[in-house]
Amino acid sequence: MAAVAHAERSPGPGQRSRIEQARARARGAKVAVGALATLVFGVAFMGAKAHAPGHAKHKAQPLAAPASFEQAVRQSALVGGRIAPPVQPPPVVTSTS
Amino acid sequence: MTAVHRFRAMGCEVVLSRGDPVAVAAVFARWEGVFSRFLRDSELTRVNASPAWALHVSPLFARALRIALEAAADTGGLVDPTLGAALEAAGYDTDFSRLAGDGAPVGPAVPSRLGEVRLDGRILRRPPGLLLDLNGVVKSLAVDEAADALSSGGFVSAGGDLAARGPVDVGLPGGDAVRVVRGGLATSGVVSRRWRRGGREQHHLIDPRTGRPYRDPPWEQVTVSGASCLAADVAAKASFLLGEDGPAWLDEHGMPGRFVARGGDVVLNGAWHRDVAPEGVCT
Repeated sequence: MAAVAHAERSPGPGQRSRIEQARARARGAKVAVGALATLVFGVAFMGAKAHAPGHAKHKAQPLAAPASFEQAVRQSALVGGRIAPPVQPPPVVTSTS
Repeated sequence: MTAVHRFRAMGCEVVLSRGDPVAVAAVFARWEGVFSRFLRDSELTRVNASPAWALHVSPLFARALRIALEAAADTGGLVDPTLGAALEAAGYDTDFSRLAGDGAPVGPAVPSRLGEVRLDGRILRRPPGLLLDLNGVVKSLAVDEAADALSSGGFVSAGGDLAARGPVDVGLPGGDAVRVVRGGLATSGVVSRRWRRGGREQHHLIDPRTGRPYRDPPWEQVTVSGASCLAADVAAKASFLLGEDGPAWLDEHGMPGRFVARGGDVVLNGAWHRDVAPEGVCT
């Protein structure tokens, strides 16, 4: 009885080989799935980092532009041109707009 | 003698030298096609007619509106892009060439609605019914863009707005002249764009403080020299609307200004006088 049970639990050389092959395929599949998951995670991580950056690691900066920059931009709107006395008859006339 | 080309666009004569007239005409046609209040299919007409509170506008529209809002901030709200309804109330509701004769009395005053306009990127938020009018900056922006394509020494002028790519002598209201060495020159006033409604004379320079055409201005015309045509045009309109304070305001910004008073007297501010002071002109 014990020998029969042992025979049922102990496959022959051919059966052991198939089990080993199945285990090998399972290991291969696990490695492939793991590698694929790592790849997908890496691509998603890099994409998210590039296109939707999260919290900055450095010290937070105010969103407003520096005052010096704002002043330079603002002043640039109303800046005088350069004029001088005329030296020849004008080819064009400024009229009221 | 350099050839000078002339054609009409934006309701005024365009004059240019040392440039491709076809390319310059295309620039003006593009700006007019987007910002005309009188073309039914212009983007400005569609924006003003839209019942939506938020609109996605074109890059050109967003750029011009942003500049107009900055000009409003720079001038303390005097050059205001939200006065389209005030212009219509004053009777300027069709192409200027059709404003002949007297018309119905003007509508009620329409005050500024500057605080109701928000522009985030290309998303415009404003209450439906608020009529934008970007004419305060659009013509001068078109002139500046057209001038960018000119050869050295060229100029382009549209109505009272001029930009030069080198020294050019320009005739002034009243018969004087000035040499524009760099930048632009613009003249604003009430000499040409006037019409009658309800027996009263109207003009296109709306005072945002009253929502009506500026009453009894001390000046007929104001000419300003700016680093660009846009700067000159904005400053000319603002200094006109500031009345007697206009010359000093321009001096605060270091901008040369020439004011022709109602009686014909010419007043130069300090910056203009410093650069070109004809004899016998008071400052």
